Amino acid sequence: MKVQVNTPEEDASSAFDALIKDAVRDLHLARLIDEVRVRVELDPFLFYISVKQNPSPPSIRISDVLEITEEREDVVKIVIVDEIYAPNLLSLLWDRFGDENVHQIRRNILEVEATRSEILDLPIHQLKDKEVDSMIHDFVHRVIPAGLRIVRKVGELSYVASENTITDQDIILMKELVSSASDAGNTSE
Amino acid sequence: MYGNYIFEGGTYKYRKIIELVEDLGGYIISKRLLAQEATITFAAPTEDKELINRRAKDIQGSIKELPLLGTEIAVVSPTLTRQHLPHHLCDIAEHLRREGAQTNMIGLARGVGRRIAQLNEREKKVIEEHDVAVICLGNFKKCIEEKVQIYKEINIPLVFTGLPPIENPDFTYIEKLGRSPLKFKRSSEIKLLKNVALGVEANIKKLREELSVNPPIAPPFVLKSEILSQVEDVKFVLAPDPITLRTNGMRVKMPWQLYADEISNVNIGNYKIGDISTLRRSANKNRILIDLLPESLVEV
Repeated sequence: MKVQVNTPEEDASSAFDALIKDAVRDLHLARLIDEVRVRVELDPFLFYISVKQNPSPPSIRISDVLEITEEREDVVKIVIVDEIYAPNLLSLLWDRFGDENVHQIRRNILEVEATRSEILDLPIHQLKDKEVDSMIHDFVHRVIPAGLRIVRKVGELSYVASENTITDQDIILMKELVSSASDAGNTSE
Repeated sequence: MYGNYIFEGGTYKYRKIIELVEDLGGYIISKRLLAQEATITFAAPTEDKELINRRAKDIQGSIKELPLLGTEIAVVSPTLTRQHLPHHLCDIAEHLRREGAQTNMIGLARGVGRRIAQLNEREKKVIEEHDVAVICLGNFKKCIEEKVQIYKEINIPLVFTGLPPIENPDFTYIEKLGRSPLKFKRSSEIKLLKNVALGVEANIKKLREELSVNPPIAPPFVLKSEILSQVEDVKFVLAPDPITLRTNGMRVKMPWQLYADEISNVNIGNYKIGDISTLRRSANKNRILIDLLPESLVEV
């Protein structure tokens, strides 16, 4: 993972570099993120962060998420194997089969009024995508200073944050600064 | 002249230390017995330190000086968000506690940012109830220099921490302590915490020197022991330290409306606490704050 930080003060650059690496370690994102770029301007106070996702995130199979333990007529009993996916799996089941057809017997045991093949056909990769998205957003909001409460999305995973209103000129300025300083500043692997 | 010390040793014959301190005219400030370990903090005449040391060695214990014993320090964070807490602020607070201070962590409501940073009147009052406040700021020099001006409204000694070096600051400033995501473990990091403690100690020393020019009739730990013996309900207080000492007073963690009069009437020799101090209501949880008056202001 490559981290590139540009700030007007050198000490702050190395501090943000350490901060980013720690947040990545803390959230176990090292395999998901390819590159992080940060640019800070103090006048006006603007903070730009962009995250480049790794093109080959680890895939997920249905057996990683759930196990079918019992089948009756149009009712399947399933056990959630990895509870990390439980909230997203439940909302996926509710969307697909309706609230009234998904019965949560215990914390990790469900009875769904569906067939085995319908369960196996669930778009399970969406769970991983949602989880990755939320982890990356969590990461971005950990890095952005707490005072910069106005955040604008300027790319797929690029944000500009400030304590003042962000104008289009601010966004253009930050994008120019980031592209012109492609290899300058504090860069580390 | 009294010095502040801590005894750490086994529970075996720990009473010998208490008896010696009391015989020498000292005061026991706190006593904790946990399984086979005894931790006793006390104030005793400095000229008798050697004698107490010898007694402690006899019972396999040790005596250490606690420069911040009897002080209450505020550790102030711009917010309670994870960007600012917990790591190095908790490390600072822990290190100050090891030096004997009682610490309170204070998270401000709107201390973040540069232009939008604020300090409201209640926060200012709560911070001013302490002897010294350690204010932990961030990574950018420009932000620190601007935010320091906001905190200068606080009328107690302040110690600022931040990452960048600042040349000739007109305030106590400890550098290399910016926004840090990790707990301090390395010796270089512990040294930074020591620098904060030294900054606080210097301010406390100045406060004590000012007090020694016109001292109160009785030191705070005398009042504490009298309150403990004369106000029965103190033992029902659930707060960890029901009476917290400050350099020139104390915080009694009991409701103002119920106990202010009773505490005001506690006898200290020929006086009552109300005669030799001013009592006021704390902005924090309605508790009782006692500020000792200098001897010259006490009516004979």
